[in-house]
Amino acid sequence: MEFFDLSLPYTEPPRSGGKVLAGVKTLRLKLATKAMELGYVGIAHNRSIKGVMSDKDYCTIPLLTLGSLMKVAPRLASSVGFHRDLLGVPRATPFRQYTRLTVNVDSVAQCHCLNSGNPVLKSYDIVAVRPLNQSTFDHVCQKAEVDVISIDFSDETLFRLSYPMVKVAIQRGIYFEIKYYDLLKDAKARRQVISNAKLLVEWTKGKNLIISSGAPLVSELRGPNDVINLMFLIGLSNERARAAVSKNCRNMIAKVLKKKRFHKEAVRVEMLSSSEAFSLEQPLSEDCMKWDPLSSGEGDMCLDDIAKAFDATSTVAHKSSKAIDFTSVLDGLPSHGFRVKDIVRTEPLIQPPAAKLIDAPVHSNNQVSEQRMVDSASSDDNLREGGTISQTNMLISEDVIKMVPTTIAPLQKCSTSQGQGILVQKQAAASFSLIRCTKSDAASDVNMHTELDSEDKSLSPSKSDHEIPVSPVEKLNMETIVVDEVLVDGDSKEGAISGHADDGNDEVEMKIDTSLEANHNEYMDVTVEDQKHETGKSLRPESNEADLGEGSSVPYHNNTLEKTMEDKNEGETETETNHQSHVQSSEKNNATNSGKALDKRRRVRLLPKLQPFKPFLLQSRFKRISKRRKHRRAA
Amino acid sequence: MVGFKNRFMLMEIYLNPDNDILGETSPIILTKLNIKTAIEESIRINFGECGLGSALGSFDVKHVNEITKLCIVRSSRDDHRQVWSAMTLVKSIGNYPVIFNLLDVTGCVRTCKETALKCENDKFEQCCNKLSEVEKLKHSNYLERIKNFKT
Repeated sequence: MEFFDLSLPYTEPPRSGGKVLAGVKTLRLKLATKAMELGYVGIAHNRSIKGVMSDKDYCTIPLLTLGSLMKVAPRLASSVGFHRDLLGVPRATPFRQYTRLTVNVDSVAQCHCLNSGNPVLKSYDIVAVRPLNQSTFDHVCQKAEVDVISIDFSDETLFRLSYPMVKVAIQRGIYFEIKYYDLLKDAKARRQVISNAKLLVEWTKGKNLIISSGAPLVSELRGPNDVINLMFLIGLSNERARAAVSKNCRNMIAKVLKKKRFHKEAVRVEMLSSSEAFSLEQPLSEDCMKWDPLSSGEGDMCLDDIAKAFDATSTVAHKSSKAIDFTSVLDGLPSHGFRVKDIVRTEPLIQPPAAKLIDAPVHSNNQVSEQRMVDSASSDDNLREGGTISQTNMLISEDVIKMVPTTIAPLQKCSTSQGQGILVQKQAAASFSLIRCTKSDAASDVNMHTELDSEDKSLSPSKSDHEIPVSPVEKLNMETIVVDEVLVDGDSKEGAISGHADDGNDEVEMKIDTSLEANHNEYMDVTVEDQKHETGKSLRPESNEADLGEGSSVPYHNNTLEKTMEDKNEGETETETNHQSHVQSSEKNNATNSGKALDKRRRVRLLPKLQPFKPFLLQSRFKRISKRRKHRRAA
Repeated sequence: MVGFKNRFMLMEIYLNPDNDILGETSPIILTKLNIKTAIEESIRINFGECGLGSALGSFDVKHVNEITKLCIVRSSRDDHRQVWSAMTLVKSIGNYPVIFNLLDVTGCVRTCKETALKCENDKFEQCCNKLSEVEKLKHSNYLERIKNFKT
């Protein structure tokens, strides 16, 4: 947690009179020293101007050097370290300085010069505005290009704050500032501040609110903890006040610096002399702080840390340069323009966040085809099978393409929960076309799984289940058990086995199919009422998921399929590993050990897995229910 | 289970911060009494007689070290934020400008002792070069007092 004090007054030195200048300078030094000692890691030198802006108002604030601070307070380092330890701020945190301009505006005409093109404003890091009446406040909230709105709450003739305006300003990302110096001034000012600021605090709810000192004297500075507690007086809770001193300030500075120093908040071009070795550790721009390296001679351990420090601009540059890694992007650009496979190859990068949001359906679509890919990849070792399986892959992919529109369209309708009779029919139709694909699937999978299972002993029971003919109802039960076992295995043996857990699920899916075929006649007996009942119950939550997932899952699905068709041999293994790792991680996330959770999880996993084959699932459910009913009747 | 809960606030006092940045000189001697009166006055101004009355029940200055300028203030848990903000609003003891700076808040005596001893040592290391033998002896007395310190 780093604390900032973004308003230390800076008075423009008068042109004449060396002594006055020295006094002002030492005051500024003292303020900065005290702020540093109290544990703040960032200050802003605030210059306040009134009236018309002119060329004189360009930023001329000289930032302080460590040497001058050390002159004022030789024992600074140890004291700073002591306070930082107590506040939980790392000792090595650099002390940062910013320049800030506060423009006092009392007419709308003055507000108009607060635009983004103004070169005077550009020369400062932070631009604040202090509206002095109602109309300027409204205008500033709505239109002015500023970072902070600083309101002097101790002013007796304060205008009325209006909630809509505050809301607009927050939406535009402007921060409001409360200066606690007003609270310390005297009893009357305190009263005024508390009554006025309470309203603002209530409206902003601590969001977009920063607290700074505005202290003209060293004796008006307070430590961060005290400031946080002081905000209790104006109705700001502890956490929000803490955020207002640290997090909000930090966000604001990061945003402002990005806006100021980067083109489109993203790109920055710098001139570098060829003789200089380029490194991010060194300050990049001329307005960065440059600590005097000589002063560390007096010093302490802490001083070395501080001397190494570089200011916020360079850290921001560091961050953003990492955020977009141009070299990798450029390497990734193909010389011959974009092809489908290129897009596909970049897909996994884009996919994870989407998958997080829509979790289940995306998995269900991916994993099926994925699984095939994994299978084919593993079969690359045995070349005899490789050819046939790749063929089946082709078949499957084609089928799935056909299937996608048919399954999803009814699902959409299903969410509206109207015309369920027609719906079920459609699904049944879709299911017929699917049986073929899963059949061929099953054939290939049996081969594959015998191989895979031979590696993994823990899955052997599931295999045996598959081979031994069991009555359908029992089989259904067995499925659930198998899934449980697989899940547990996946939990206990991480990494490699979680990959096999997928296979296990895959098998389950197959089994449902086979059992379905066996009992096809029985399924046909299910009454329409039953179907309605069942769709009403079970489909709604699923269909919601499907709706959510649809947007991203469908195009992705197509992409992968195209890819499998186009370039089977190229780069498959890479994307597969990506997929695989993603699947693993998601499974690990899901994994918990409690029994109830297991039950729930089973359902959750089974459903999304089978989503492309949803009709089967439904049928199996109908069948199960009809079976149960038969049992009951018999009993 | 404790029926009545206290908070112990370990405060640091800066004397005359405008002129003397790190508080190296001590123009006035801090005592329990003058600190207590200053804080009570601040509570009375900011929270009124009622606030003072509710705070006074448990409010006490338990320890003052004039050399390292640390003090421990005890308050009931319900009122400790009031007392704390009152301390923040204190601007002078007597006619001397001061800043109260909070170092730590604890709920029990034991942890309070530990942090106080640690802070005392740290602060003492910062200023031990300039101290005379008498002052060092005084400081060790204060440390002893903290160690034996009960509620």
